[in-house]
Amino acid sequence: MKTLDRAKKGEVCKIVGFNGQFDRILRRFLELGLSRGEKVKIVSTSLQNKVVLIEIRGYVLSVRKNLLDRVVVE
Amino acid sequence: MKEVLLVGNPNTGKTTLFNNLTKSDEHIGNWHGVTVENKEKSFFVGEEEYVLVDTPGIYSLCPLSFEEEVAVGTISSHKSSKIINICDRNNLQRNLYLTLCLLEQGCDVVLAVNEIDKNVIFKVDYKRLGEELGVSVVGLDAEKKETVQSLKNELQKSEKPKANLPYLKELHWEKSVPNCKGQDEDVILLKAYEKDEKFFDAIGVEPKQYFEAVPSDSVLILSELRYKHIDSLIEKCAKRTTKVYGESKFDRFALSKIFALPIFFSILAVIFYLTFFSLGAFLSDCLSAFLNILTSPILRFLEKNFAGSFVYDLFNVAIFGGIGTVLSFLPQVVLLFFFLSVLEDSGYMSRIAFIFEDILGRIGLSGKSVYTLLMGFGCSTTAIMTARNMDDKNAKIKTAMLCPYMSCSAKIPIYTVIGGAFFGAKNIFVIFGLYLLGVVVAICVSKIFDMTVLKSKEQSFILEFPPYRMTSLKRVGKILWKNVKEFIVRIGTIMVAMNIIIWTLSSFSFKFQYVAMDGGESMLETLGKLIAPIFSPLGFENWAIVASLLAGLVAKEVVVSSIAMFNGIDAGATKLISSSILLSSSVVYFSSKASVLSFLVFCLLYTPCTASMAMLSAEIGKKWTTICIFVQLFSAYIVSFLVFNVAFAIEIFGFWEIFGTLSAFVLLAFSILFICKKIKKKECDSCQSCKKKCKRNQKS
Repeated sequence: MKTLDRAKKGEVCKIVGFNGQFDRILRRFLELGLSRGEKVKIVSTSLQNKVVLIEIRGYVLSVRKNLLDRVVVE
Repeated sequence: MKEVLLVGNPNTGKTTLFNNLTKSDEHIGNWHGVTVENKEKSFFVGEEEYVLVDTPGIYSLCPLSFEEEVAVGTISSHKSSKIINICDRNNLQRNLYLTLCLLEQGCDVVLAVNEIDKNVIFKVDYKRLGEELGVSVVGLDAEKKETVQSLKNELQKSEKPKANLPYLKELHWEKSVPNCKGQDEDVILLKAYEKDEKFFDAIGVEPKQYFEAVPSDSVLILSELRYKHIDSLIEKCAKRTTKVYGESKFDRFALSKIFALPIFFSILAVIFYLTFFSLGAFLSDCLSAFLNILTSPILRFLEKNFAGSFVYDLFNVAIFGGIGTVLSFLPQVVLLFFFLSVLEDSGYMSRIAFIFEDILGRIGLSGKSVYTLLMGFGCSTTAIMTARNMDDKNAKIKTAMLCPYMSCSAKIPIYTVIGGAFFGAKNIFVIFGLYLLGVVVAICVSKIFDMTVLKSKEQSFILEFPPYRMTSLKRVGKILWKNVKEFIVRIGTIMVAMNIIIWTLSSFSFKFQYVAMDGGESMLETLGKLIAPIFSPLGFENWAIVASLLAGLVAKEVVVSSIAMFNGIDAGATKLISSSILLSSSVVYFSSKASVLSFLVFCLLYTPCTASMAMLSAEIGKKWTTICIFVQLFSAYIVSFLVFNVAFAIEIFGFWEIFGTLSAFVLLAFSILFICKKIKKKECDSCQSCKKKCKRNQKS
C-alpha cells in the first residue's frame, strides 16, 4: 500500500483511499478536494522535505508531508 | 435593518467586496487569513439599509483554526440572514464545495463570483449555473464599484430560493432509527453523515445510534457526492483551460533549495535600504526642511509676543520641537508599510511561509508565523491579531508574544535620530544589527518557551497557494494615503497629548514652579533620578533617558520626542529644535558610544507600547501578557547589559583584543562541551549495567 508521503517530486498519483479516523485533518483533505480517483501531482518540496506542495483539482496546496500518509495512492 | 453575511473560502476577496460595498478601508492582502474576526458596517441599497458582516475565510462548516471557528459560529447564529457567498472564479470547483455546504444547511445564499484575476482559468455561464443550483449567481469584480450593482439588486429580492441538491437523495439510513423530536429527518440524516457531534449535543440527543445507522465512511461518501455534483455542474456550466490556479514559473526559483533564501533576504535588504536610507532618508530630509519653513514664522511671531514665558516654550519645545522630530519620519514609516503591503498583495507570503516552515518548526513556530512576524515590522498591534491563523493554541501564544521583538516602525525615529547622532554614516550597520538582534532574541525566546512551558504540536500547514498579483496603482494610492493619515492622526492625538504631559512634568517642580529657566528640579527629574540607578549597569543613568523610556511605554515615538524636549529645556533653546540640533546636543546624555548602543538595544527589546499590550491581553489572556512583559523586560535588561559591557570593553581595549578574548572563551566553551560529550559516549560504550536510560540502550 503506497501512501502519498512516499511519492517523489514530479510524480503524479491517483488517490485510491484514506487511512485512519475521520478527524479534522482528514475532513479538511476531503473538503479541499482530495477524493478517490483524483490525480495528485507533487509539485515541490521545502528545504528539508518536511512540507510538500501538491497540485489537486487545478490548484496548488501545501501540506506537511507526514500528514500525507493518510492518503493511499497507486 | 437586515443583516447580510459575507462568507467564502480564504483569499477570495471577501474583505475587498466589503470595502467596496460599505466604502471602508479594512486591511486586505493576497494571503490566506488576513481577516481574523468579524467586521460589521452598514450600507444602503436604494432606501434600504443593510448591515454587512465580513467573516474570516472557511473551507467548510467544520473549523480547523481559531478564525474559522469565528466564521462558522457566526453562520450558525445568523440562520435567517442572507448570505453572500463569494467565490473565486479561477478556483470555482473548490469554492463551490462551501456553497453546497451552505445550501445543505438551508441558508439563503446569493452566489457572487469574483472575477478579479484577469488571467482566466474558468469561463462560467452564470445563468446556467444559477438554474442548476437553484440560487442567484452574479459575476463581479470585488474591487470595482460598477460591477456590484447586480449583487445589490439580488439583495432586494425577498423570496428565499429553493436550492437544487439532487445528490442528497443518495443518502440513506442503513438501519431504521427512532424519530428525533421536532427535527426534520433529512437534517438528521445529513448531520449523521457528517458525524456532526456538536449538532446532536445542541439538540440534546445521543448521536451514537444515528452514527451507526449510516455507512462507516459516511464523511468520505458525502464529500465525494458533493464533488461529483460540482464536477457535473462545471461540465454543464463552465469551460476550463489547462492552467493551474496558483502555479507560476517564478516559483521554480522562489521555492528552489538554492535560491529560495537568497531571494527572500535580498527582497528584505532592498526594502530595508530603500526605507531607511536612499529614498526614505531623502524624503525625510525634504519633509523636515519643509516643516522648518512652515513653522519658523509662527515661532517668530510667538517669540515677539511671548518670549520668556512658558507659552512660547510650550510651543517651541513640546509641540514644534517634539512633534517635528517625529513628524519628519513620516516618509520612512509610510514607505515601510507600503512595501509590506505590496509584499502582502503579491502572494509571495505563502511562498515565504512554505520556505520557512522547516526552519521555524524547529523553534516551535510555524511557517505561517512569518506573516505575523513580518507584519510586526510595521506595527505589532495589528500584527498580533493575525496570529489567530495558527491552528495550535501554544503556537498562537508564542507567535503573538514574539511579535513585539520585531522592531516596529515606531522605533525607526529612535534608531535614526539617536544612532545617527553618534554613528553617522555607520548607522546603517547599527540599524541593521538591531533588526537582526530582535530576530535573534525572538528565536532564542521562542526556543526556550518551546522547550519548557509552551510546547506546540506540529502544524498541519494546509495552506493554499494564491497566484502572484501586482498591486494596482489605485491600491498603491490608497495604501499610501491610509498610512499617511494614520500616522498624522497618531501624531496629532496621542503624541501631542503625551508631549504636553511630559513637557509639563519636566518644566514644573512638585511645587508647580516653572523651573525650565532657573535650572530647578522638575517633577520628572525627581522621579527619573529615583529609578535611574537601576539602569546604571546598562550604561545610562541620566534621569532624562530613563524618563524617556518610561514615556515610551505609551508610544515608542515619544522616546525621541521627549529626549528632544529635554534637550530644548536644558539648553533653553530659542531656535526651532530640529533633529540636527538634537544630534549635536543629545551627546550630553550618553557617556559613551557603548551606552548609546545599550540604550538602543533596550529600546528594541523592552515592553511594547500600551496599545499592543492591550491587544496581547485580548488575544492571549492576562496571564501570558504578564509573563510576556516580564520576559521582555528581563531579556532587554540582560541583552543591553551584555551589549554595553562588550562594547565598553571594545572602546577601552580595542576591537581585536576583545574579539580575541571572546573567541577564546567561545572556543573554550565548545571544547568543554565536546569533551563532555566524548566522556558521556565512552561511558555508554563501556558500561553495560548503566542504570540511566540513555538512547543507545533503548534502541538495543
